[in-house]
Amino acid sequence: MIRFFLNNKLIETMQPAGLSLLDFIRNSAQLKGTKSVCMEGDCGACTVLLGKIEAGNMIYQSVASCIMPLGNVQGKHIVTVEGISDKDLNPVQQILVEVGASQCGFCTPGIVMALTGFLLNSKSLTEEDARMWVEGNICRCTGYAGISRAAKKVAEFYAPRLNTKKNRINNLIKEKILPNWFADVPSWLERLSMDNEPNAHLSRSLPVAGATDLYVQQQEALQTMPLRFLSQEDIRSDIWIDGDLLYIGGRTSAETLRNSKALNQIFPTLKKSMRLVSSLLIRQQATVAGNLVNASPIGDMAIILLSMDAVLGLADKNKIRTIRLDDFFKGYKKIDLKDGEVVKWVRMPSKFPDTMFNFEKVSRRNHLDIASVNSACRISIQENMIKEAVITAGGIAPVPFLLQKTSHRLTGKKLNIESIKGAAQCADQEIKPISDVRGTEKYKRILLRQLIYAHFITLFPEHAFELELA
Amino acid sequence: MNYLDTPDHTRGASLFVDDLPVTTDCLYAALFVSPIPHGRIQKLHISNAQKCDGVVKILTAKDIPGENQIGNIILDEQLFAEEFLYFVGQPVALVVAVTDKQARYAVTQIQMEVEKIPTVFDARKAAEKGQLIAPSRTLCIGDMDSVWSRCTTVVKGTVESGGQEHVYLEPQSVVVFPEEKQGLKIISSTQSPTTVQRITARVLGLPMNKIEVEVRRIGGAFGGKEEQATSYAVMAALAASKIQRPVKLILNHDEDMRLTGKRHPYSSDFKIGIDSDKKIIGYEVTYYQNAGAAADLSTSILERTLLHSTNTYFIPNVRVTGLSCRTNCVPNTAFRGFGAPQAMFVMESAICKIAEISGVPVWEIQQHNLLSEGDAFPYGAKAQNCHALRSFEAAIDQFHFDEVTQKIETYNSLNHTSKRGYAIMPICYGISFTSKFLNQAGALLHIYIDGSVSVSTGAVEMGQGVFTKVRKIVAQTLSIPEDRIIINSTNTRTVANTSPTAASTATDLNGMAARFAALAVLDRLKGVAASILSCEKVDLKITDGNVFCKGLKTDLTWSILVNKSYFSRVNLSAQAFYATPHIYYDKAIEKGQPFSYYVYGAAIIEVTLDCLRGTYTIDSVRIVHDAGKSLAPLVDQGQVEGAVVQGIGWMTIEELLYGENGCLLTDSLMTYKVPDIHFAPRELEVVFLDNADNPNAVLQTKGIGEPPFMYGIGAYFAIMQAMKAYKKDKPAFFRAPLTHEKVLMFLHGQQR
Repeated sequence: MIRFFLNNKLIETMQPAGLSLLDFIRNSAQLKGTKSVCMEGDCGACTVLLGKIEAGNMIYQSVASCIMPLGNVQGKHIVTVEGISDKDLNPVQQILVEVGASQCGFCTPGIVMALTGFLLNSKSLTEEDARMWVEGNICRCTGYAGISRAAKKVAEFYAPRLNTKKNRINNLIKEKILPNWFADVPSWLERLSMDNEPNAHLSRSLPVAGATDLYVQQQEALQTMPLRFLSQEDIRSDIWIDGDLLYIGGRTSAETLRNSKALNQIFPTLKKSMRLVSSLLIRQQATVAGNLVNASPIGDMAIILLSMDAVLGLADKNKIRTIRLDDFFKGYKKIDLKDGEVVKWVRMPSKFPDTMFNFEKVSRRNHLDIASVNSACRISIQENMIKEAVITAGGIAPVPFLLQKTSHRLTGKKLNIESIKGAAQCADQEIKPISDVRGTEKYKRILLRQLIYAHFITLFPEHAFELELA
Repeated sequence: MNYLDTPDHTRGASLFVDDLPVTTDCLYAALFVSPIPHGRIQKLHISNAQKCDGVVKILTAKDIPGENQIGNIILDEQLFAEEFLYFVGQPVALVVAVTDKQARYAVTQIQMEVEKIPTVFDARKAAEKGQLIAPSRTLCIGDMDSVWSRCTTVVKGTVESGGQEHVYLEPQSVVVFPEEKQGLKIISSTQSPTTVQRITARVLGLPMNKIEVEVRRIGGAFGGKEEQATSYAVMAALAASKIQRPVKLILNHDEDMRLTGKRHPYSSDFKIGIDSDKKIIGYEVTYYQNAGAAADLSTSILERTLLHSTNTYFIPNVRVTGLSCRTNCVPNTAFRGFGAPQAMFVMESAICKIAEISGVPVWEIQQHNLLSEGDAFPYGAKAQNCHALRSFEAAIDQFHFDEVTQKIETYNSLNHTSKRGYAIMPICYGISFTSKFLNQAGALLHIYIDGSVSVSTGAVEMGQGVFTKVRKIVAQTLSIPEDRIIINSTNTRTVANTSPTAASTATDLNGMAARFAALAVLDRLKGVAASILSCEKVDLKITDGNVFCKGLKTDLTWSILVNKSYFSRVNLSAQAFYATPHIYYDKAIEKGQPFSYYVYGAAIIEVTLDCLRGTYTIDSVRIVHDAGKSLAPLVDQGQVEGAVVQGIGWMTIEELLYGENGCLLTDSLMTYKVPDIHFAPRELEVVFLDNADNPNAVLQTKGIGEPPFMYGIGAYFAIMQAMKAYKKDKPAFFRAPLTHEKVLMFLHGQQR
């Protein structure tokens, strides 16, 4: 049985754990405010909030309920638009109406939930933050002008009133954005978790973490398949350092990775670069390990981690086997993962002395899109010589690709135009892009060359390489 | 401002078709469609599907009691294919089952043996083969034989514009309830309740009065539910009628993208000439419209293309020809702008090209050729109350165009890998359905004994705010608070023979009908008041719910007056009708006055190009828009903002790609990218043109839904200008959408 709170009601259901949360909300619970559109996390119309207790605190994130299996909400609090709505509009709803952020209304409940999630969870409450919280919500009517006005107004009005993350829930109750019963939710969840059954271990069942890719690809089949919910297992969802090594827990979300202080110390533009990865809505839900196991040849996190010498720890019960990420990818959507194994962690050196990183991505739409070509670069320079260089790229081979020849060719060379052009030419020999919806083969070849140039132009502005390369 | 629908939208309390409660006996339908673009059905195997769990019935062409024909303008489209298949996605059978999942599963168990027939996907190739939906049409004015010799510069070119998926968020949705005496109640997400009613009656062999169609609201439409909601409604009605149980048919979003028609792709050849005065004196175009496999609304759309071929410019010698070409694509359909955007893109491309060749700046050619009062369009009508120059100059002044150009020139001289570009996009868009008979509307108004008012019209609310506007019109006419008035669901039983909610005319037509109804009842109420107050009707005025006599407030309030009128046995209901006056068009000579009035405006768009990566950002769009005298400024502002971003999407990132077999490859929001919040211009400013009262529409307003879409065309030219700032000597090209791929190939494609 799956037990969770939906708004202020306890749900105990025998529905299959593989059923999507959206299906449950609309059809079992008959709450019709949450809308169903793309069924793949690309529009945000089905956005709801998911609350859980972490380190003694009640934490909420926004999730795309269309690609969230019921099994992942075991013991959690789910909030739909009905849960925060009363006869009178709450102040967030009022703002959306007054600035013209709603036209046909189909995306509106999702926007309301996204902005509520922003107020609940965002440490800083700037206009930019508010925009990020609604970046996963597609609206075809307003041209986002009204939504932008609403984001600005919500941020400007509440930033001074909710200046601390402490007591956020109580303050939002005071502001009449949340109903009073929100204060009781932690105690409800504590009672739930005490008698929570452990995840039934089915050795041949399919491991499910964030589900953001699985549920896009095979939602129907998953409803009847035996599933193994990693959210119920002892797999960490944080990033920690142990000696010379940095570990990313197997359930760490993309957004946690983006905000990791340790990783941003290594890769100072990571936080900015990762803005190009999906939307905040999906980054909160998707796991780093999922992006690797899914083995998409254009997985953004795979491309980044490949450049960081990542090693995977694959666990089968108590046994852990390690494998270099580069060796993990065997072929198109083929990985070295045995039945019963899951990614326990991803590991890399905790320090890259005198090393620079850069990530580049070009897609049809700059945000919330899959890359046409993406690329990461790691480089260390000594006295204008390239001590070591690693260039990885996606969208140009059947797997997330470490450009070994290109990387070798650069290593030991002078940092100059010839080396860069030579690397680009070498890369062109090394890749095998195909024409598809993200671009023609010819385009991808030229684009990778440009992204390799972009790495050097971005990392070494003092050399003004752009004058000759662009 | 009073908001009619949006408060409930934010509470998740607004009900759409799929949200409506249904009874437990409701069945669910799913479609089996053609997997090939052209062929002949040899055998359809449905027996395996029939045996699947939950399947109640599988319907095919054989089950149709009436005509298997859903064509509207031209009768060339079957509801279910009988023998021939003309496009991928053409409906063949409908599976009806107890649950949606069961119906969808059973669809996968249907097999069809087919014989393939050669295909044509390209409009020009179809034209070569003589595959036209209707005979070509040509509009002509002036002297095309001698004009070219009088030009100082003449250029020719080819322009392509791609299709566009509507991406209304609510997919095609319908639920049908069988009623007594063969009756059916259809609740559909359609812009055209009467079309649904009429075609259902035709297919089911029933009189129209047996069929009730209701629309509460639509979750976005943009033209995509004007014609194309019909087939799904008819199928569900057929199933409900046969099985005598409620039937629901909701497409899922990917399916909707594959099955439904889109904006028409056009391929066009132009020739343009200017004289030494920078006046465009000659313009010639042939438009090849890719209609797809059936007519749908293609001929009307092409007509609007021809009528908008010269955009907002006066050109004395013009010849434009349009060919609606039958291909094996999904039948294309209405989409905001209805053929005018394609025409205007060609016009602006021609100006861009001749500017490039002649060295005259684009904006100068634009400004030199704007329509003036009394100038004739190629179809003979003359521009009246013309605001072309006024809105263009207002944009230049208010948005400091000189500074913009200077700022961008400086930026471009200082930056090597980043270039900026700008464009001005002026528009002129005609309001009225070009099919004259559609310019009519009815309204039904009741005042209840307590003074509350209920209004029904033929207009469908789809987010564009027509209910808000109609309520304002009635409130202003009766001079009572808006909260005393409700606007009912659109229903063919309350208002009959409705025109589609389309062509930016919904408020003009239905608002005027509602106003007429309100005036009729008001006159009767004044009669009652006159006898109560012993005065003349002409001396009476109702203001804010109070009755004034010769300017003095009386004891009579709206509520008391209504109550007294009831007891005096006065009719408190009115039905009214409006037909747009003074419009006519003679297709034989292609001359007339097809539009009631025109909407003008001008936008300045600025972009930044990343020349290293071949990507761009739309920085700002600033618009002076002629909205007449705006009745609901926030609604109108929202229409402009939404339309322009849609237009930018069409010109830039929205690209439809098909496989060799005619299958749509970009069939989800994962692969078909519409603007998101970061892509939309960070600065979007809308200013309404002042002193623009419109004598030709209700309360001096203007239609607003479509015209601003065409400001988005400027994005193409702004990006192209930035591209040319990087590659100075490379000629511009005109193939929209201008994707990142096309940009990079232009900037770096040749270089090794």
